[in-house]
Amino acid sequence: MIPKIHLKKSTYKVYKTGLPFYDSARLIGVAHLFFGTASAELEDKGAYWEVKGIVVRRDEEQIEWVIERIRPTQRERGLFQRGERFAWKELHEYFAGIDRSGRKAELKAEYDVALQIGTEDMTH
Amino acid sequence: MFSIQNLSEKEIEETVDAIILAIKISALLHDIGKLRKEWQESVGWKEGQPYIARTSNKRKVPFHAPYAYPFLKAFLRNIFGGYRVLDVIASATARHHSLEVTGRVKEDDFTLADESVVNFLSSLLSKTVPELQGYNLDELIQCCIEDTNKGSPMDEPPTPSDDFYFIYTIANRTVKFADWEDAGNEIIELPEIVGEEDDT
Repeated sequence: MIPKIHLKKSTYKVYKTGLPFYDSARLIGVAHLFFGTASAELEDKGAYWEVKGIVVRRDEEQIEWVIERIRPTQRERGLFQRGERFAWKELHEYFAGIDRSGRKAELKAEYDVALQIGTEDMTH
Repeated sequence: MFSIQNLSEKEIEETVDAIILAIKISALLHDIGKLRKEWQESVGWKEGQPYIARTSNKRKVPFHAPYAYPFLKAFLRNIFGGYRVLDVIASATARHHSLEVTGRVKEDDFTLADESVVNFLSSLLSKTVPELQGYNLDELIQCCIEDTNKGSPMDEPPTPSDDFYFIYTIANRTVKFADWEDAGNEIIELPEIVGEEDDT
């Protein structure tokens, strides 16, 4: 009998903005920070990419290091911080498309690739 | 990783067993590319003869190692499920001679020596991997041959920052050592434990 692999997986969505290099950077960022670039599986779903992999909980400090260096705006920082606490759970939920009630939701319509919007914060 | 996954002792044990078995199957099938018609004919094989495994003429033979990647990727995913870590093992196996193997294989480039190859492989596997008992190996192998013939894009091997890098290095080392020991008919890895009751 074949032994079973019991490793759990998780899935993230990266919605496209339509700006190729910006989108690529976001896609690679999500793959690398959550799974490791070579450990993630990517699938193009049209308006977004699905990024899947085995749950490994990459080092949170690694993510904080990156966030410090991108000098986020106050609004962007709100995605990552809750008071002094690093918002790991919220960051996960942001890309996993989970709303505050804990349900999966179709979020981030503002990043619809067809409408070419969702880039307003890039000017800050 | 297992603590993050919150797995029970039993689940951890079974997962480790599955990964070890995946590496064992990969070691067995690492030279699958040598069963291509082109490779066999280049070393002087004639239909009806036993397949040739080795040649001293390394310069005039076509590549064989890259084919292990798409074939094993399909084989392992069929057996164990859709886990990316299995692609890592397939990639490590295909790189048993050179780190230049990218995973890329052309479409329709996996024509095997003859029709008996499928039967040859399924009897090899049923003799050496008892865990596969109950699988329709002929069908599985045929399916993996078809998958390999679809061609394969480049893949990225893990770097030391990836959590599965250690599995990549273990798989690569295991296949390389198995190959060297088989070619040289000599025990290289841990020779002091050979012959002892513990067969780890």
